[in-house]
Amino acid sequence: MDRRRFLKVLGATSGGAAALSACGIGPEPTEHLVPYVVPPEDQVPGTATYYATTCRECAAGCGLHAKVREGRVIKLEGNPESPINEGRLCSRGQAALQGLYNPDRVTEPMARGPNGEWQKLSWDDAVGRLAGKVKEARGRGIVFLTGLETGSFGELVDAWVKEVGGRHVTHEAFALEALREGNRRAFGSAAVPLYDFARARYIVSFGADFMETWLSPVGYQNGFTHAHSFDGDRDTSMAKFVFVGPRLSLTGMSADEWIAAQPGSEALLALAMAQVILAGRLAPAPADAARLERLLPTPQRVAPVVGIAAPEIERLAREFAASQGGLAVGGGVATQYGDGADRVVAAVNILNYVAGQVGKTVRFGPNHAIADAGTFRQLTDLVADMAAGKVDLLLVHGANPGHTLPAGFSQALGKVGFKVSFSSYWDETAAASDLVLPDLHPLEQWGDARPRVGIHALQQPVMQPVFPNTTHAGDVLLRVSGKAGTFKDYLQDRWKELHQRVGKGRDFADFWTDALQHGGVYGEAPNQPVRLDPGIGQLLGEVASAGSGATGESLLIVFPSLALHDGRGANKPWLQELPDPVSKITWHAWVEVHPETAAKWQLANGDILLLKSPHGAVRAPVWITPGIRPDVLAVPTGQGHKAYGRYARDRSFNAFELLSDTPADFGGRAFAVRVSVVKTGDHRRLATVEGDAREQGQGIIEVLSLAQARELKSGAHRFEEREAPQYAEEALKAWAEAQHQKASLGDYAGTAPRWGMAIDLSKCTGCSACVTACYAENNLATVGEELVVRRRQMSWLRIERYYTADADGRRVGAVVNPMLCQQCGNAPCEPVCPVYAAYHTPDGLNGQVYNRCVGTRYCANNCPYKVRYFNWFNFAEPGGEWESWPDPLNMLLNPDVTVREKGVMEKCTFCVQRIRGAQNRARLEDRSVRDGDITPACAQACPSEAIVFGDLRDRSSLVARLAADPRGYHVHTELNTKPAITYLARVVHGAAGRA
Amino acid sequence: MTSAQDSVARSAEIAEVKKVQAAWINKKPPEWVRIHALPGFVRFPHMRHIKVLGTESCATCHGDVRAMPQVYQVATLKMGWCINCHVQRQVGRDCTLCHY
Repeated sequence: MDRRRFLKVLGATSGGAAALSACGIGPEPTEHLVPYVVPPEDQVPGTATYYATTCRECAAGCGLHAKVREGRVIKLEGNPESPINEGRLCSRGQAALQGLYNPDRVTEPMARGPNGEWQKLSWDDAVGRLAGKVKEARGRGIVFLTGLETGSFGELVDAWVKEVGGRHVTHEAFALEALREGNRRAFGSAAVPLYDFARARYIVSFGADFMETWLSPVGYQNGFTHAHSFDGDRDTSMAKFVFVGPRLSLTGMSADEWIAAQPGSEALLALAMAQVILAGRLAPAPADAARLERLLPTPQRVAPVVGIAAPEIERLAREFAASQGGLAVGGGVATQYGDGADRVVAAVNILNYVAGQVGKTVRFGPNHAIADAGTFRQLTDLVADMAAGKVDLLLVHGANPGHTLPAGFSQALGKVGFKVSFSSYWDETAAASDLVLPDLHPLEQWGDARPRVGIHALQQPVMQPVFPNTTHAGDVLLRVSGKAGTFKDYLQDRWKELHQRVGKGRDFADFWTDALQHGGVYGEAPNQPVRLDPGIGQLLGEVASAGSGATGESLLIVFPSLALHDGRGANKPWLQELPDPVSKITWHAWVEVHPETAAKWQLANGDILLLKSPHGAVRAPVWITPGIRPDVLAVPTGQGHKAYGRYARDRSFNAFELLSDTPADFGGRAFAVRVSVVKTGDHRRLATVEGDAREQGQGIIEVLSLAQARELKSGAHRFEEREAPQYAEEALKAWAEAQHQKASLGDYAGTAPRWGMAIDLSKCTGCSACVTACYAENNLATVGEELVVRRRQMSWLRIERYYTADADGRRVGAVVNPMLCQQCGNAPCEPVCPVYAAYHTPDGLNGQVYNRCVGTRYCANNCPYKVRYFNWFNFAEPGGEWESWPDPLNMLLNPDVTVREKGVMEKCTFCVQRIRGAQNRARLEDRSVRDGDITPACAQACPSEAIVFGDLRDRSSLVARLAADPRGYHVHTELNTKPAITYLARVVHGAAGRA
Repeated sequence: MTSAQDSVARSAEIAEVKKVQAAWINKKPPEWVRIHALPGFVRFPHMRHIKVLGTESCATCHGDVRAMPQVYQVATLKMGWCINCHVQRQVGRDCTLCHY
């Protein structure tokens, strides 16, 4: 008996007979091939069909291409034709799939029975019940609460509530009220303009997290990259990016300079910069700006309050003006501290205005739709009405104030006569309702959105509903009001009107088909000029007298989580397991504490603090980071759900509980609060995926100053391969000779591509969209918090983040790099595999053959990059302890990628399924694979276009050109691994900091 | 073939054709029993093989199906058999062409 059979039999006797047939040994169970009687249109088994639709995971409205296999959507990608996201997609957008196939979806209408228990009912009953309640509640207060709805569904709700004599309130937790109010105070218009990052030559963000949740993260990150990345070819005046804020967020990590200004003093800093520009005539300011000069504070006056020296402020102002393309942005949620947050935005507006940039990098006209979202004040007014018994019927769709306004809303809900939820999930608001009428998921339904003026994004169902007993909320409303027709008819009527306006010359059928194919109608909105509001003088007076705003030891800032947003992402395991780009913590929230503060309070990572504000108390584990001011603490939103499914419920703490329920003076919510801090003495291991926050001089990330980068000559190699030591010379020579011989045998003799990648660190921001795309494409298992604590996470691609500091230890910054299997030319993992499961393919990949792997794990041991991951558990076993894909989550699995079993090693394959697919297609077309035919999932998703893939041997390919770039280097060259991935050094303005 | 055997074969054929017709009429698909099945860890792209071997090449791996009253497997379909043909025709033998 040979060794393999022996091992297989062993497996069979301990694991059951089923194992044998799955190995291809012994009789197979009979399979049946069952064809369609009538095949569905445009679905060919084995090939994918792509549909264009719109993402609804946040207000940005990015365009999607949904990849559908055998009638189910398995991957979401950006729509290259959408001007919002240009074919890129963030983690939240990728994870919409896990909302669609979520195992905790509401599958049919439910009503609360007499004893409070939930009972199923038919749609006829449900609609009848709702219609009855509407009739009863007429004139006694009917309110329809939705999220921001910019399209036909919003119009339907408006019309519907008007008919029943009610009102429509919209709620977005991040409605950016300060941004809108600040614009109104500066320019008389509460609109939110388009910020043209791509055109900017100098960017200052006063706490606006434009890569995370602010306005249009994917699109703005893409634009930012165009301005800020170092491109040796063009005029190398790389736009400088300065981040002003108390906390180094993801957005701040890409900055050339981080100014940790005193929280609340950002307005003064912006105004002082404006003063320098005006006084020095440094930019062509509009005529009406001149009168501001005497009202603006000088750098000398604000310097002590802001906390940086006056010459620095002057320098910033001069740089801003001299760039002739300055863009200052503000109004992010994390700097919406409290009263007066709108003044920061107004100050930022003034800065842009005096630099002559309004109309250039700040364009009113193509305005963002978020300006139409209801304010926090409108929500609290509603809550007051509810508490006073003035609302007899409340309908909720696309909003979860049960989580974002936990105390106030939940109490008031008790006084509402009848509560109806259209939620697809058992979120807090639905769990407290009386009737739940589950809506279809956005991927299953017709709809549209107008994310900004000029863009009409169309949303179409990309598959049949996963749960056939769910119904479009629009259809329900039409039925309740006794109207004929479906929501699709209603939508098409709206688009017929649009067709009248913009579709001249074509009949409607063509116009509609075109819109479906391209994802909508994309137009340019003309710029609208704006002038300074007459009341600006008064505002400046307020800023002057307001003082420094928040000071003191215990200021706590609540910042929006990139993955979980306002809590909506918490029921999706991909987002829970996505390491936060800044803290690298998964499955739990944390409180950020500066090392000095931690030393003063004698805290270690994981110590649990009791944070108590006047409004609530939470227990939060500590995470010590230099990326925050010593006098400030910070916590993320998104966790602490009381309902919302197995992945979200009873996990961590809800940061919203700490915040005040009273709106600040600008109508929005205060996201900062004073807290008392008590050490509880408890401890919790953080489910973090990082080892060390410092590089320890390993040279994993190379950074060049702009001056150094400019001096590089093409063909030179700044980062010389390190010299081999003397004693290794002989061995290396023998090795080279052996390689040469091997390279002439069999498959290795011919000309084959060498697949490689180039990752440009001057573009990568660390946003981690690539990580989620990899999970989606390659059937990666989510392992849960306990296993992440034990370092068993399976992500093939991780973003490493290292903090840097300059020579005096000041000026903290951060550098990031994506680390994945380097597909080494001289891989340490290959010679140690006893069964040739890890081997080198003729086309340059480090191949991993799952069915050969016996699980010795020597390869992972030998890998210096630590990018090999072992399946310690059976993540695919239905009903198993570590099940990653409980039904129907398994529907999102990619059939082109093997689902790995326990005992098998896995790692990045450069999306070999995509490589083979492209090669097969090319073979059918009698041609060779062209540069650009193959895009791995990570490269496709990246909003910054940082990852480039291709054939290194094809000298005309983009990747070959980038691999030869003088900025290029390999990680751990001293180990002679010959990686196929070339990293291009990050470039920063000023001196390059070191870790 | 004698005419007796002819008519037996023909009536058998007609019976099978009737099965397919019934499937269409009743809108219930016929459940074909799969004869040629590779284990789940093999990814076999038919299109490349047909492209190279031509559209008359089915017999290369499946035998003379036209002459089979009921399809049966003629080749072992084991990996060694696949590799033999690849070696003879000097086509790639790389593992990750079929195992990934």
